[in-house]
Amino acid sequence: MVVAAYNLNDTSLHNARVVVAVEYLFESARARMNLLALRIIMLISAIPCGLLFWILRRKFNKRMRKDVPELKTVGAYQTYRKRLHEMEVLMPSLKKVTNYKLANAPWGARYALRQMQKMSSTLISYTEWSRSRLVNLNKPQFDNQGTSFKFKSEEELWEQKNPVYEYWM
Amino acid sequence: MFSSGFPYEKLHHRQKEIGSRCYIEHIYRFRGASGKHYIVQVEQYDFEVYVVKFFLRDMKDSPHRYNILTNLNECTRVLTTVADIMKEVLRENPYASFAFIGSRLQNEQSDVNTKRYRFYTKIVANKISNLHLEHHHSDILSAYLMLNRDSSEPNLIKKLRQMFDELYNLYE
Repeated sequence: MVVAAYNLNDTSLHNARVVVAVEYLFESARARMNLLALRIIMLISAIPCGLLFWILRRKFNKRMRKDVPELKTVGAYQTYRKRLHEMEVLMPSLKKVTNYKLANAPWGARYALRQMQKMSSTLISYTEWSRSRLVNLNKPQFDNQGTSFKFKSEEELWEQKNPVYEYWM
Repeated sequence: MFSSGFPYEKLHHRQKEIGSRCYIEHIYRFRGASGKHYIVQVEQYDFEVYVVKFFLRDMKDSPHRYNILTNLNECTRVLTTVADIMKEVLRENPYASFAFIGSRLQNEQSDVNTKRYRFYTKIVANKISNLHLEHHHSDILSAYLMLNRDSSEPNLIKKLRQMFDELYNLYE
């Protein structure tokens, strides 16, 4: 049996997508169902949902500072950057979840929502920390003052990059 | 696009002098799909900087060899081959930095922000990461530097500027 290695970046993205999907389902249900039906569904699904997020978050927290992907090769950097970009696309939804007021949530959903908020908060911190690893690539190591040369930061280069192309080096 | 380069071979290398400065010229050659041969000239200067130039072998004695458009429609594979050569240089010398100039086309009046430079700048942004090479560019000189992050040379850009000024009388 082959066990897939725990990939922190892929896992963070997967977890973020689960949070966003559950949040979307909750909002859709709230918009379409009456309050009683919503409360019944919340009661049935809240504990499994909350437990799921609790388990995912515990596992992720344990690995967060240990299984850090190394950025030694261009391939590793490109994958890391793509995942970071995909996480940043989900950030507004994650921040929306962290801003929900628990007191306004239906009674049955509060436990699940609390777990979702903790997961979102962890993922937001992880994304910000991931971004901070690229700080050195965004400030010049070589001084070009007094010349006509301008530094191109990692962010600028990434914005200009077509995602279809792989790096040569 | 940029699928694979052409097979290439290194012909030789030799020391050359301009005034009091020396550099080593490494010559590579490959044949394109059109059947035409290309020469890639990699000039190794002080501070482990390599300047990459290429042209059609048929044009090697022409003063306009860097300016013409070949119209052979194999640009992406040619550039991929040049990149393969750069990778080989980097493998042999892990401290190598690179530089290139986008020469003006024959119908361009100025060397500032040439069309070739703008094209190469786009290619570099898409195909060369800044994980190991720090990117600097000059629209005025139509020049691009990719400086090795493992280089510990202080004031490298100023020294390069001075060196190339002495060699080639570049003006800003």
